[in-house]
Amino acid sequence: MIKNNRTSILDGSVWQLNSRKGRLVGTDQHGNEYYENTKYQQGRSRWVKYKDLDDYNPANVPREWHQWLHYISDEPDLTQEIKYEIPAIHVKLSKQFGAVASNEPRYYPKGHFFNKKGIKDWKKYGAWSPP
Amino acid sequence: MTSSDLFFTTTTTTTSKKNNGMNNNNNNNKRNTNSNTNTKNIFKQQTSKTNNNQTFSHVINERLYSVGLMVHRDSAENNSSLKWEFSKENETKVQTILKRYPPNYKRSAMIPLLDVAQQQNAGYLTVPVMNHIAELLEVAPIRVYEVATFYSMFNRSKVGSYHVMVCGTTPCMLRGSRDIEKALSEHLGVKKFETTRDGKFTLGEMECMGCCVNAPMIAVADYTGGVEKYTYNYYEDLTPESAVSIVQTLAQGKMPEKVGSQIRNKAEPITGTTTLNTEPTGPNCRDLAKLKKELEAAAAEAAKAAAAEAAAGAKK
Amino acid sequence: MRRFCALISRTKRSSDEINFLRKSVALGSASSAQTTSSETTKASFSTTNTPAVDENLVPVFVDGREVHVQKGVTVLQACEHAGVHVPRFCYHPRLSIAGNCRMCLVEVEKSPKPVASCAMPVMPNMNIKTTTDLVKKAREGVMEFLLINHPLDCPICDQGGECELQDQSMIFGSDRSRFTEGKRAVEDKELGPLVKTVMTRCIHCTRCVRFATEVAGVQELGVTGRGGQAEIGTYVSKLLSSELSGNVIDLCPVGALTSKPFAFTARSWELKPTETIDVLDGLGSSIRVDSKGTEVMRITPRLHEGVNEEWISDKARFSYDGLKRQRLDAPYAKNPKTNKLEKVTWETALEIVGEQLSKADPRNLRAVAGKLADCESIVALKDVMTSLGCVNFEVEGVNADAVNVDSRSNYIMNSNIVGVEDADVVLMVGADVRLEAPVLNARLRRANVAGGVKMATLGHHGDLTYPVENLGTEASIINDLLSGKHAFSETLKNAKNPCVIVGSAVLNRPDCAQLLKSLHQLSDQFGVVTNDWNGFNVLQASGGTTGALDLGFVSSKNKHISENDGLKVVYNLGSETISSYDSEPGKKFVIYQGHHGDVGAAGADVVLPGAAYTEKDATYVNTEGRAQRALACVAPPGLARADWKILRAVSEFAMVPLKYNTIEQCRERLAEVSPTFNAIDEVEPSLWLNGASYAHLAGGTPNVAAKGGAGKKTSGATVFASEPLTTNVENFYMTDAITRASATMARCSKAKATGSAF
Repeated sequence: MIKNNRTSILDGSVWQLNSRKGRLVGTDQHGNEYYENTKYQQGRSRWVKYKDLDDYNPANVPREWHQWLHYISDEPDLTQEIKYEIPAIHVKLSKQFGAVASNEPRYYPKGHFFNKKGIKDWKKYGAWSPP
Repeated sequence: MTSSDLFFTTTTTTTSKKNNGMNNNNNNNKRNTNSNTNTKNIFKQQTSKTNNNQTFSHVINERLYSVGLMVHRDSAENNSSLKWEFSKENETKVQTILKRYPPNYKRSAMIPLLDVAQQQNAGYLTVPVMNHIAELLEVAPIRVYEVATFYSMFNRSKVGSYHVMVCGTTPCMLRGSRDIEKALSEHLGVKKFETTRDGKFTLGEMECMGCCVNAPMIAVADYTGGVEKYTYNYYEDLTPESAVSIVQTLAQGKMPEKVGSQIRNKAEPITGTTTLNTEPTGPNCRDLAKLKKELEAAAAEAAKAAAAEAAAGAKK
Repeated sequence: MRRFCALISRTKRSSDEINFLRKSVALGSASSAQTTSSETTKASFSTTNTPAVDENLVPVFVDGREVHVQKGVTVLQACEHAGVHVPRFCYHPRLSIAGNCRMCLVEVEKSPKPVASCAMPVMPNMNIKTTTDLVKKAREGVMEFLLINHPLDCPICDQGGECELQDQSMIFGSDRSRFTEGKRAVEDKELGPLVKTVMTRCIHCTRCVRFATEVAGVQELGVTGRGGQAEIGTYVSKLLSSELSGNVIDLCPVGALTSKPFAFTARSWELKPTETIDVLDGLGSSIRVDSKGTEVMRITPRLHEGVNEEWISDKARFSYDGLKRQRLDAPYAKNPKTNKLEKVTWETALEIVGEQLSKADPRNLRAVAGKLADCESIVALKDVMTSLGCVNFEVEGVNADAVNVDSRSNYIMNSNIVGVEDADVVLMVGADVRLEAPVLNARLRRANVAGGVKMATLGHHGDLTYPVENLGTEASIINDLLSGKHAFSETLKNAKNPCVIVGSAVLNRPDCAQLLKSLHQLSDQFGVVTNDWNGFNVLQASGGTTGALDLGFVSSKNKHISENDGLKVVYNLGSETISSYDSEPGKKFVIYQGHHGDVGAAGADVVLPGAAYTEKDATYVNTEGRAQRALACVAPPGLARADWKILRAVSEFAMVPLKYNTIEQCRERLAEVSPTFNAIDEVEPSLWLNGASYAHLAGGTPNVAAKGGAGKKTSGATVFASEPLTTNVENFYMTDAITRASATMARCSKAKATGSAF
């Protein structure tokens, strides 16, 4: 079931997939698989298995599956036209996620070394300058 | 998020919980899918209904539960910059109520005043109404808000002229209040806590009103005529049909023939009264005159016997 | 309410008791070691060893141990007295009893159910058990219910580490959850720029509601809804309008109400606490400054029964970001060529200062002490200037010509801060106590609401949160009071312990002397001052003023301002109101020593960077004459130095070296100048001169015309300046250099003005 042993050893969430048995509910356009087992308690009864377990990103769960995964809906609403809004923060998601061009700047969270915008001001005080 | 979205999400969550409860038994998969499809259909209906019902969409938004939101959202017709006052006719009523309480415990009059205000203001309390009452009672407005939000009998969003409340507490539920609710809902074309498009009926719910012996029952608050004509009537021993006919009668502007139990006189057993069928007899008192006579006779006899005994002793 | 009153009377106590309490804390005796910061009701109980001779005491048994407690106290208090801690959330000794968290359940013998100990009064021979299985189970059950709707977001919660719910669930809670359902979520409320809300975390203890209603006196918070839908909030969106709103952050046992400026800046366990005092208002509230590295991260109140109990004002709590902005971190001197201030070395700056001071005509010298100046630097400045022959001294915000500093009773709160609660009539003259000292205002509010003390004001003021009788705004009303024409005279006459609170604004009026004289007359006439009661109180506006007056920082009676046009040298120790010396004719050389670049520094020729109150070991005297020590919590920025050390260096350069080299020696000198500094944190009653202070002013003949110009001499009554009496605090949030530099305080001012936090 799990192909890559390396990741499954290092990554607890991938390792957990081994021990879970559930019904395959659906697959999204990126190839991520969505499972459900209602025997598990609510909150743990739905999960996603990413297509590439070596390089996955929770951000590439599409909206309708995100809803399903978080119990917002009981079924992914596939009838609506799927529109991807590019988020305010430019996100270069992992490589499967084709919607964003690869030359977009990568998203770094506030305080990240490469995020120059949100960098912390390390000055402890502001000095007065005479008028 | 639009109002329909908000409603959509909330209901979904509740339903999903229900599903989980259902699926605790083992044959889960197929059943789960079915129930999901059902739910989805309901949603579709719901969404369309919400869209049709534009006039009262804000009602749907605010009344997610029987009591609505616990915070206030300013709107053009309900914000603290507006002014509201008791009408001239009600002013005397207000004064009567205020007189019942000592002047330093004025705030005791809060609930009766809120009740009068709700009747005057077409069945619901707005922020200016509550502010006015706070002013009257010399308390901070928040103290009035607290009371008004605490009691589900005070509405803080618009309701229809007739507020039809179905009792949903256990005895009524066992006696079929769900069916009554369903019948009313179908008849009026609204779901629970919604108002009909013409603004005439709001289908509501409340807790036990103490009529369990005549369950199931509904209560109808009539806000059509302000404080003067305000009624709050119970209709008991209902069937879905009789509930609908009551609402139909009300819709025609008439009063239903019978208030209270629809099939009984009061709360006697359904098979007819078993006790108190005859004229009550009078209180069971002792006949004192007779008693006196008897006692006197006994005393006389005793005296006689004693005299005879004494006479016999003297002979010896 | 009766219970609340009882509570009040218990927390009210004489200064003797307070001193006893403090001493016992200092000694670390066994009984006081158990006293947590908020449990202070202990002093009114007897100890176990005392035999129960007092008939007000009843014996109860706590876990089998017999203790004697006062009648009418609650089971919880009895347990505290016995040294048994009972967990609680809603109970707070300074608030009314709500009894709604149920965490304090204990077992009482012969009671079928566990009893909420915070709301249950003790009965004689009650057998209270806190260690039984029933109690353990009850606590576990209550905790489980409390946690049902509490989010599991401790890792991102600012309360984490100092959270009562976290601690108590660790101690009393179950080790695992049985809860698998969804949790409810509550919308966050916008309470203004100071209090951040995460209402989902709220456990509905209603401490904040009770605080706002009872202590702060702003009835804005409430519980809306019921049962599972209950929410704490204002219903109609509204900002908290109290000057004490920050205290709800401390009161909140969970992370529902947290500090907005402090949000996500530090964890409580990273902070270094320093117990010091606040100087931004006259009370000198006890505070704890939490610092990380060289930054002050937050300020929280410390318990001081005599001053601030356990509250502090929002200004004291949130103005700390002002300590990081507009700082003077290097000496500046005016470049004669460009006429602009430029950075110089300490040596250069001191050389210039020394030269100017030593070469100037002593009669042309002048020293000004600012609002926030500490006593060490004031005494050092005074010594330097006196050695140079200077006689012109001035305290910021005080009309020193008028205020007689010969007796302390003329400028301190003679009744003490605690004493205002013993008064039965309070007359506030030219003061808005809510703005000038919010914590004192809370005390006055309690005196009024719980004690029925009559409150009256003379002068303009805003809403004081309790009913007051405003006698008017004209100063001349005092004449009517004195002559008995005013109806309020009767009230004053009938009062047993009348009290007068004079606002600091009065001390800076042109007709100050007349006002003070009349107020002294009033005090003598109406029994404000008697043998065992002195209710004449002056409420100083800031931490430095009383100290400066104690040290006699006023011009001598035969002072002499030189009429010649020689260069005048002004040594400005942190005063931001330069108009007093700027309006005088002649060229001036101004030396500014202070910590913030404000009006004072901008108008100076030499700027010497000093330290703020969190950066130096210093002594301040509060408005009741209590000398208190502030401790250095962080280092002063850049080249800034502790103020008295700068003055010590200045004295060398001015060729009049001071005799003290260490702070200890400096403090010895302080004690030499004024006995106030002999006893730290103690209030000595001061002598009342029965009108002798202002006897030199002939009765009814004011010399207002000299300064104010509005007064006219008439026969009989004293004539006052025509401007109405009012407070000198226009904006509570911005009163000095520190608060003016604070972004938080700016936000507060804006929120107050616009009614919106954005």
